[in-house]
Amino acid sequence: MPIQIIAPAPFLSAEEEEEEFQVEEDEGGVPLDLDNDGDTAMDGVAASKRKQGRQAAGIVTPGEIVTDDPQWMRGHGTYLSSPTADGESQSIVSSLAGTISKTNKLLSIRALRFRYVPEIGDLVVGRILEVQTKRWRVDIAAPHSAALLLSSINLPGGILRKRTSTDELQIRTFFSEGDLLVAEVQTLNSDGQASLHTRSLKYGKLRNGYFMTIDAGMVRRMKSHVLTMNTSNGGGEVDIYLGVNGYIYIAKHTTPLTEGGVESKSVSITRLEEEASEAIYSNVNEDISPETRAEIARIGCVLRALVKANVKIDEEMLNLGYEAALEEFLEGFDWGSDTEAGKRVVDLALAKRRMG
Amino acid sequence: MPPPTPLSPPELSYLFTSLSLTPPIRPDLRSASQFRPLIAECSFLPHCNGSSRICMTEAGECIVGIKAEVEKDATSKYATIIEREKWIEVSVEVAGGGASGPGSGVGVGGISGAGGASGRDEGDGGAAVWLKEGLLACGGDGWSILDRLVISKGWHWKLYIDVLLLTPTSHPSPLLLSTAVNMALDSTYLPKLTSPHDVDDIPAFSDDWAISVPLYEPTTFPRPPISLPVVAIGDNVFLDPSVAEVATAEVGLVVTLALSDADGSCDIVGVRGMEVGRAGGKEGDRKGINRKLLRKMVTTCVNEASEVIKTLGETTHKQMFRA
Amino acid sequence: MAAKAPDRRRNNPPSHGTNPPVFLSTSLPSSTIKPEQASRPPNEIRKIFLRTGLVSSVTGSSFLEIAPLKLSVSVLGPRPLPRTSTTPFAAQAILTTEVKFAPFASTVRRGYLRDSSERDLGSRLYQSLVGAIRRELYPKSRIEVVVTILDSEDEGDEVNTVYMEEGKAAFEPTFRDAGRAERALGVVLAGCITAASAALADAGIEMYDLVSGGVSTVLVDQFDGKGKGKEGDSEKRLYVRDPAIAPPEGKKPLATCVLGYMAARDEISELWILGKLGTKNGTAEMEELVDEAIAAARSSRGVLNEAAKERVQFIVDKAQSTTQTDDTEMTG
Repeated sequence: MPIQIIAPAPFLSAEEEEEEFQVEEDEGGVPLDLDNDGDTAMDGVAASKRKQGRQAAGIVTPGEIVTDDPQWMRGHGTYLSSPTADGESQSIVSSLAGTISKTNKLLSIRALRFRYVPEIGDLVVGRILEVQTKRWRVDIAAPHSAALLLSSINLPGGILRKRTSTDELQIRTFFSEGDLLVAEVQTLNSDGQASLHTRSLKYGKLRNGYFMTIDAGMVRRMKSHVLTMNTSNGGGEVDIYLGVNGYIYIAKHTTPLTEGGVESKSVSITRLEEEASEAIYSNVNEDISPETRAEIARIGCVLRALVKANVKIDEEMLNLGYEAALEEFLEGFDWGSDTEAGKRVVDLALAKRRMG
Repeated sequence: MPPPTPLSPPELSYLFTSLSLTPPIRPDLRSASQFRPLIAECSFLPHCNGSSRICMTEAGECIVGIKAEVEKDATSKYATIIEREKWIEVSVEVAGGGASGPGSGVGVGGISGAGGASGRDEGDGGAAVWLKEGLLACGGDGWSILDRLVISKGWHWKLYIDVLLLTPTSHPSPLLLSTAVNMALDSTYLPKLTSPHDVDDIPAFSDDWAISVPLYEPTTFPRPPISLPVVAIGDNVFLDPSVAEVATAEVGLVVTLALSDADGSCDIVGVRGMEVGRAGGKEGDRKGINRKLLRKMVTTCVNEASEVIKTLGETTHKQMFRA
Repeated sequence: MAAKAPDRRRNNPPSHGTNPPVFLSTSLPSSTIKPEQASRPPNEIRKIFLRTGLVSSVTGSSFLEIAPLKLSVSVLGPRPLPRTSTTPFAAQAILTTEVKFAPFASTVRRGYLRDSSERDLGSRLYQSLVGAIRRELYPKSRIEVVVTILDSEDEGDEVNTVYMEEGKAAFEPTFRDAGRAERALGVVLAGCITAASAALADAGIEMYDLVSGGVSTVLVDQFDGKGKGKEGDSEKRLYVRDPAIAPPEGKKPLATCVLGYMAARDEISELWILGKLGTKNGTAEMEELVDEAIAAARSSRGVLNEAAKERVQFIVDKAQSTTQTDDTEMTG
């Protein structure tokens, strides 16, 4: 069958939806008893959920009163209604269509789909949009493109080298239009524009792999967004850069220069500098075996399948998904032609997670 | 002008090597001749004679509406081919005015002729050109779609085929556009003529849709054409290439085919070059198609085409309002 | 391009003025220019007149004439990209192609704005040339190829009309030539490709290979009966290189192939097939048609090579003669 044509169908049936919410239930906030009449008109399933105290899945729309209980603090996606004349307490009103999430006493609304909002310290994967005289404009899927200053990158020939006018003239030899890089959000200016830096050897230009994008909200914030996975089928180690902004890069694992640096530091501090200068801005890939390429593609497919099933991505989920994909693969299924393959993998992965 | 390549050199080189391996490794693990699944729906716009909606995950979504209007022949005595070809009007519109941000990189129209060259500023008028071209060429011995549009003496249907691309920044794959048009045409019905055929009075039609006439008879041939994009990287030939694959490809073709008989054999009704990135190769590499590669590319299309057209046709008929 | 105001700043004429070139060879008595010979064998292409250096104010130019088709090509550049904020960085030269019929180039007058068929021709010319040019040698610059068609074989004449008096002309078995307009455009495109290559060579732009255009058509015998002998018609196929627009008597065109061909590399840079080709024998029918078009392109390549050499030879000769005089002056 060379082509598969699927008849249009609603996104999720009611039962599936419930299941998803169970999966999505998170961060263990206190159950919120919303008992005022002004709130969500829930029916059937949702109402029973309320009784069970699973309020995390409550969906609100802009303008809807979330609560008038003064014990809650308003967070993102909410505002305080104007004070009433008779001096009653103000209510917290939603300004987004999304789900309610609570962190201790903080109430916030998370939209289902949104653009990435950069925060200081985020690890992002970006693509150079434009080269300017002393900086680059980087696409990080945020409302504003981010800036990467020439002074915030590692210059070849030593981390502590001073930037010179020669570097300005050669700015394209570091990053050119279309280049991919992994960086950290260093500062945010008043209008939300991010400034990046790559002043660490774990950041910098991306090579030896495959780039893909997913919705920004689908990547869960984790301790580390650079995962190294030991793949099967002779694929060796594969690095996955899960940008908080939803840009993902999957590449063959290369010994990070920092590690190499640690070893060579004992020999000479200048060794590290030399190493950095040679490799850091190269556009040439290493030799990557077909096995590694196949595993990189498989990880990509797992990520896509997880996103399609609305499962947030974190290290655990990715590992489980990959395991599931391998098991399915042994049963001889084919990602390319089987549209249900992704779903089966996700189901299997979720089952594994429930089992612990 | 080709779109400025949105991929970085290491990315392109990675893709190029992966795709030129034997067997190739496509980023989504498809086999070389496997199409991406698509969601198809037809005959859902009540104001149209025929309509379709096609949704492909990466390539985006588009809606086609076909409207037929009664029109008097432009000349009473002679109607030149040029005049008759105006009976079909194809337009491709991008929802939101075709806004393509600086990051999108890829413009509208992957086919040469589809707004390439300096014509890019004219939007996607080119896509309309090749869609119509395939439609008119798809015919054969004394048969042409235009003949089906003759109502009576001095009157004909004017067919407006309006393609609306709903995802502005995505790369409209020729497959997306052509499957959508194919399905819409296949679901197009025209009201039945009730007035005599050979009188040049204003024609009258039955308002009963149950007896309306299909534009393409479901059981006769040829069926509406379909255009399959095919690219080559190294010795490998890929059907339905993704955006990244097009950017990496060395050469590309769009082969338009139509089912010619019930056995499922196809006729080639058109071949066009496709604008590809040519970004993966190195200097002095392949700059065009040699004959061996041409045979391989077209054969791949021909082998898969009948299955694709049949599957598409079945889906259409399953969803038809009369079914 | 047409919609915007022309960029007048960069097309300044040379300060010293230009001399109109005079082609002596064409100023023959009109009686010697015969109309299109009907007796031309199917495997022979029409005679091509191709000269470079027609327009001295541009980098490179050429003029091509094939029977009724007359067109001139100007190549501008490589020149810098306009410095605007929207212009992206270009690591390779940006090629733009533009094909325009002069308003008087066909029986039906054409407007000054480019219509869809002209845009289509432009982008296909782009496709056929872009692979051949070594664009990576010209970063941050653009090369413009502008083709003006001065005269062309007509698309819509008497033969091409459908007699509609009976009101049901479409059901009559009268022969109708559906691909005619496309075939006419195909012949024009092939001419554009050949002429544009000559102009690019004249402009001194580095290329991997010269691209020459070729056209071929496959014809079958026209049956007067309705659809009889449908299966038998495959035996009597006639392949014609560089076809005339009007098909020969009693023949009906099935499909036309236009291609841009790089003879030295044996690669097709642009392919355009229109018509109906069966696939019962795989792609054999298509391949035969393509091979004919390649043969036509090879023939025009010969002319192209000569044209490219001609002017170089002329300049070299001239330079030699002047240096010789210089030498004699110095020695003397």
